[in-house]
Amino acid sequence: MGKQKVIIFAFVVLMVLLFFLGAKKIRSLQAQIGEQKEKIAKLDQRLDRVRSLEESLEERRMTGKVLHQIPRVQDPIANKVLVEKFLKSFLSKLGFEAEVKVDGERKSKDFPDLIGVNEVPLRIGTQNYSSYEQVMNMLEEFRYFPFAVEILTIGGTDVAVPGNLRIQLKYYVIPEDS
Amino acid sequence: MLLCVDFSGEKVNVLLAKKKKEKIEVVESLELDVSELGDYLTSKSGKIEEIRVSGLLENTFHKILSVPDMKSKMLKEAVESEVIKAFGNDYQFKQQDLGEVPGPSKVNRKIMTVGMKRDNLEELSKLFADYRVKPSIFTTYPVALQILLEKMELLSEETLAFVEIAHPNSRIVIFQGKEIRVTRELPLAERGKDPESSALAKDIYRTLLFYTESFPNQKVTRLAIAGNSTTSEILENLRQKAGLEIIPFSPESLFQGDISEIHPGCLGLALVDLGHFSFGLIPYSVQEKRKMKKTMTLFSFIFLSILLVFILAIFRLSLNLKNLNLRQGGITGEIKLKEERMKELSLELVSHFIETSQPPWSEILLELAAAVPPGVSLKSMSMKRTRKGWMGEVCGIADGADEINSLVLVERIQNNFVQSPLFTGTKLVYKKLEGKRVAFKIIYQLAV
Repeated sequence: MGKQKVIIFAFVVLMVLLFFLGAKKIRSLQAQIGEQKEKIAKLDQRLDRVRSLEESLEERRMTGKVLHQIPRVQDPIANKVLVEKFLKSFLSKLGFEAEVKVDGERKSKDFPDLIGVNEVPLRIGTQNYSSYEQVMNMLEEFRYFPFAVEILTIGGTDVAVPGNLRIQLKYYVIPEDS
Repeated sequence: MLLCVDFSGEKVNVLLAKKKKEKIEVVESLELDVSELGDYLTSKSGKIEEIRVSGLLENTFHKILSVPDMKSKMLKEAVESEVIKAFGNDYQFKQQDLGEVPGPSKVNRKIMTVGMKRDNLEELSKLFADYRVKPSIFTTYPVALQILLEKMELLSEETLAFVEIAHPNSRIVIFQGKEIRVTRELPLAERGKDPESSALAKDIYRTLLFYTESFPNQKVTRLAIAGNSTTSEILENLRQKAGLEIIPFSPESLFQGDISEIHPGCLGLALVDLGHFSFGLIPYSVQEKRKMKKTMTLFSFIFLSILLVFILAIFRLSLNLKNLNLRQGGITGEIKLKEERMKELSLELVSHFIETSQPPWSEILLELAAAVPPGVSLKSMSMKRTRKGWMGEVCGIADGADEINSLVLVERIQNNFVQSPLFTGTKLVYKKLEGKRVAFKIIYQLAV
C-alpha cells in the first residue's frame, strides 16, 4: 500500500506539473493569438484606408485633377530662386506686393517615408490688401499648386516676416528620382 | 504448452500438455521430487505458456457454509466472518454460491468455501517466482479433482469417495454433488512392511465411517480409485471392508497422448476453464503487484489522456497562431504593394492631402467677419495648423457706450463664435477693461 501511495503521489505531482506547464503554454499561445488578432485588425483598417486612398488617387489621376508644379532644375539654389520668383509674380498677379522668404528643401513628415515627398517652407508677408475678397482669392488660388497653408495671420506676429498679412506655407515637391 | 503441477507431500506431479480444440494432448506426465522441480522448469521454460498449480492438501480447507439469504455484498462479508471464525485470519479463500437450501425459518444459501494458508500460498508463489514463472492459477487438489470428475460425469447426488493411492502419501476426497465434504491425506506404508496394504484400507475405511458419522443420512455408495501404487490387494481389501461399489476410473477418453502415469490432480488442472473458475487463489503479493500494475495502468492512461488533450489544444492553438501570422504577412505584403503603387501617385497624394487638410478659407474668413459685431474691432486674427487641427485666436477691442456695453459686445462676439458651425472649443481667455473699452482674446478651433 505504501508503494502504491508513492506511485499515486508521483502521478499526482506529474499531473499537477503537466497541468501547470500545459495551462501556462496554452495561456501564452492564447495571449499571442489575441495580440496577433489585434495587430491584424489594425492592419486590416490600415489596408482599408490605403485601398480607399489608392482608389481616390487613381480617380484623381483619371479625372486629371492634379496640381501644377513650379518648374525645377538640378541646382537647389536655382530652385529656391525659381520658387521665390514664381511666388512673387503669382502674388503680384493677384494684386499683392509681398515679401517672400524661401527656406531650404527638406523631407516632408506629412507623407509616409515610402512616398518620398519633400517640402519647401515659405513665408509671405504683405503690408496691405485691398479687401477680404482679395485675401480669399489668394487662398483659393493656392489650391491649384502644391501649397499648404500652415499659419495665416492678420495683424499677428506668428510668422517671421514683415507685414500685416502673414502666411506660412509649405510647398510640396516630388523629387524626380522618387 | 500447459504445465500442470500438483504438490503432494515431498513429491510433485507434473503434466505437460498441449491444448487442442476438443481434447487436451498429454505430452509428458511424471512424478518428481520437489527439489527437482526447479531444473524441470528451467529445462522447459521456453515451451511453457501457462502454469497451473494445486497446492498441498494440508493447510487447506473446503467447507460448506449455510448462511441466510441476503444481498451479495453482505453475504460475502457474512461468509468471510464465518471463515475467520472457523479457521482464523491466516487463510486466503474463495467462495462459490451453490444455490438455495431450505433453512429453519427462511431460505438459506449454501456457500462452498475453499481456502489455503497465506504462507503456503506465498511459498508456492515464491518457488515459481525464483524461476521467473508466474502461474495463472493456484488452487487445491480437491478442486482440481472435482473438475476432472465432473468432466468424467462421475459426480452426482450420490456420494463418491475418490482415493488416489501414491507413495508416500495417498489422498482421499469425498464429494456429494458439487460439494467437497471430506479431504484427508493417508500415509502409505512401504510394501515390505504392509504387503497387503491393509493399513491403508483401514484408513480409508475409517474415513468413510467418519463421513457417515458426520453426515448420518448420506452414505458413501461409490468409490473411485486411482494412483500408481494401486494394487489388486488394496482393491480387494476395500471391497471386503467397505462393501462399496468400486467404479472404474479411466480419464483417457478426455485426453490424447501418453498418460501412462495418471495424476488426477494435474488432469483436473488441465481441464480448468479459467473464465468460469471460482477457486483460483491469488497470493497476496501477486494481488499487490496486480493492484500496483492496475494503478500504474490507470494513472498512466489518465496522464497520457491529459497529455494528449494538452498536446491537441496546444497544436490547435499553434496552428491558429501560424494561420494568423500568415494572414498578417499577407496583409502587410498587400499594404506594401499598395504603398509602392502610391509612389507613382505621389502628386495625386499631395493634392489629396492639401484638399483634405486645408480648411475652406473663404467660408471661414466670411464667418469670421460676420462674427464681429459693430463696435468691435479686431487687432489681430491668426489660424495655425497643429497636430490637433486648426487652432485660431482673435484679439480685439470692444468699444461700447460705456464699460457695460463694451462687456456686452465682448459677450456677443464670444456667443457668435460659439454659435458658428465652423468654430468649436471657443474660449474667452483674456478680458481687460481699458477705460470704458474692453480688450479681449478669444481662442477657437476650426470645425473642419
